[in-house]
Amino acid sequence: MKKTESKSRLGKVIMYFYLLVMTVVFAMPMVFTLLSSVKTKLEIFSDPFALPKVPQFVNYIVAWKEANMSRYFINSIVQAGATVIILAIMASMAAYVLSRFDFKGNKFLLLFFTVGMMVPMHTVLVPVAYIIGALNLKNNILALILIYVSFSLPFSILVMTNFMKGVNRSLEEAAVIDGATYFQVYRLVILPLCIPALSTISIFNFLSAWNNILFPLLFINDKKLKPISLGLLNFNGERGSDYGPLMAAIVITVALPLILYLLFQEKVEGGLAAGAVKE
Amino acid sequence: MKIKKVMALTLAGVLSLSMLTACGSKTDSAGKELSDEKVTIRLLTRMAGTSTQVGIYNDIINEFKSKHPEVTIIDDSQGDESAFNNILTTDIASGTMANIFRIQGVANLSDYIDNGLLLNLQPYLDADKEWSGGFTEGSLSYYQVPGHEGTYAIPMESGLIGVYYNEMLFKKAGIEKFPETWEQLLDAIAKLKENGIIPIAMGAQSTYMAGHLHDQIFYKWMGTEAAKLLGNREMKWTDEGVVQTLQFEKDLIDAGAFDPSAAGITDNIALTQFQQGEAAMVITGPWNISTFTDKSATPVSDNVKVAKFPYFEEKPEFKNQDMQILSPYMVSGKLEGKELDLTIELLKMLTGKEAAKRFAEEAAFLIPRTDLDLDKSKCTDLFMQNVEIGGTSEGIGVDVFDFDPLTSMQDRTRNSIVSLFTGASAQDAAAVIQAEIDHAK
Repeated sequence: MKKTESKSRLGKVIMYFYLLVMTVVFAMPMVFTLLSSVKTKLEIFSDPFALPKVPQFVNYIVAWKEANMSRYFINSIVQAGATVIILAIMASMAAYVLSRFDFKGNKFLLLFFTVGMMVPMHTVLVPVAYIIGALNLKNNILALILIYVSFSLPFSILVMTNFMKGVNRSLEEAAVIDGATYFQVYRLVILPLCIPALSTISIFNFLSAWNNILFPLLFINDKKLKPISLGLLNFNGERGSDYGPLMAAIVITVALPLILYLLFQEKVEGGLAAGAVKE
Repeated sequence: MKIKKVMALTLAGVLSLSMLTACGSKTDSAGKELSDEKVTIRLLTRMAGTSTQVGIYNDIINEFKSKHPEVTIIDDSQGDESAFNNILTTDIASGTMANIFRIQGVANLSDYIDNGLLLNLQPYLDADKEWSGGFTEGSLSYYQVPGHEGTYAIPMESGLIGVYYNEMLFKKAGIEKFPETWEQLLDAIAKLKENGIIPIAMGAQSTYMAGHLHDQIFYKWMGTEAAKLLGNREMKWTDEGVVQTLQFEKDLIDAGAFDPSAAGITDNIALTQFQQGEAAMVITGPWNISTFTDKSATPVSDNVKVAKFPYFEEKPEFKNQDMQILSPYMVSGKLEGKELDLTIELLKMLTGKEAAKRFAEEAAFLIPRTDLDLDKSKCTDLFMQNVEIGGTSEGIGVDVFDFDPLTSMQDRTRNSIVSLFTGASAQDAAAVIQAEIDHAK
């Protein structure tokens, strides 16, 4: 009995030590970025983890005002926000049909959507660039949003479909008996029950659109429309970067997704785990 | 009734989306309507970031805009190399080249010329002698691509890649004069090391730093023309002389010329070692002069001097064969009419005498022109020293791989040179580079 207790205590010690090491490993880049955002370039590279002699809060002012991050920030919120809304509507509607209606080709359709997850972004870059050029859609925000939507749709449909399959059907049946239409069932019964899955896909889709740099780099060159990811490139020169303001800009860029993730963390994890076990 | 309501809502949604699309493309379509009168010029250069030269570049573009309000300028320029390459690759693949852009290297330009992507600028140089006459001859002829008539780029940046050194640290180690020969350099390294000073700042994780050191050694041992022989395959990387150039770099490593952790540190950390007076030398270009002369960025700025890389006593004929930076502006071969005329006008404004003077005096950024007429009171001593010793070059080479038609050679050569820092022999490094060339045949 004692042997088992000491074994489990040793296991706990190892586990906590491992967790501590991993916390340090993952926290280090964040601490480095935060510290560097208030340091000069010379301080950043001479002693990366030392405290600044005089905190350079001016880096934040340079990043926010002079490098136009305020505008890019708003652009990113609009672009990522619209992507999230469109995806939530489209994925939940597709998932409702795929999880609730038996029809020929149902399984194939789900597989078809899922296969989309396996298409690497870079392989379709040239055709997409060609289409955007041919249709004169450069600097068109809606086109950019639709590209984001198309790349995130497979994952969103998969998560929503798996979640809906696990939702108890008795409420829907009751609604149908009361005379509800399919659309009413979807809107009034299914959607409220799928909030955890919706939260999951929304946070993932928001991050995906927020962090995307490749598509806006190729398709948005109007300074008024650029998102925050492109704004970070403003600090990079050919032969050197302005690291202080760059780090401040990174802190600004990361802050919103981090806050959103912390707010929705539980629902996100709940949504991801859903469908893993059938009730 | 309810179905009708849903239908109406759906239709309203579709209508709103199409209106949004219309709003988004309004500018485009408006632009298209007016395209007969309006011209759009797109730039894809490396002039981005927050440096002084980028400020001057933007001023020139704004001046052009005010002269030609009918012209829309879209500047896609990227400082970040991978972002730049992503745009350039997509442009090439989709055939939508920027009006003014940049491709590094010379030998690989042949394909672009064959595909009509590059404009032959020789007729424009011939037509405007005031503009073309000011460029140094070597810089223009650099862009005369073997096998093709004409000149395919305008040089927009040049300057000696020199050895910037801390005079005080040299004196502290008992060295009165900067070494002129390789043997003197090895002696100096030994003395600096004895005094606890890092002889040469090196951040080999940024592979170009180790590559630039090899370029210097290569030109002093083989001459600048040898790079062309490697490119046209008349010479091999495994040839004795070429392997010897790699061995010299290995000798420096073995002599303790660099920080023991040089393989794992970046260029920024290496430069910081020099700026703070921990390292005695750093090999870099004129773009760092403004940093080296700024006391707040370089506390030892008063002691920083510049010199040419030492030559080999056995090869005095290559004493003035130097590595210099040379960066170009290219023009799309697809342009015509008013768009072409305006693009050439902007190109002249960016590389002309007035621009060159401003770039040099305000940003220590050198356009290779002989008609600069610099106000020395506006330039730093370090910059003037660089210009002076750069003017003695009898042969100019950029990177050794610049004349190689194989585009992967930039990464291949640099990575193999870095492998010297992690234990590879000169023969191993040469064999790996040559194998890539042989494999591509």
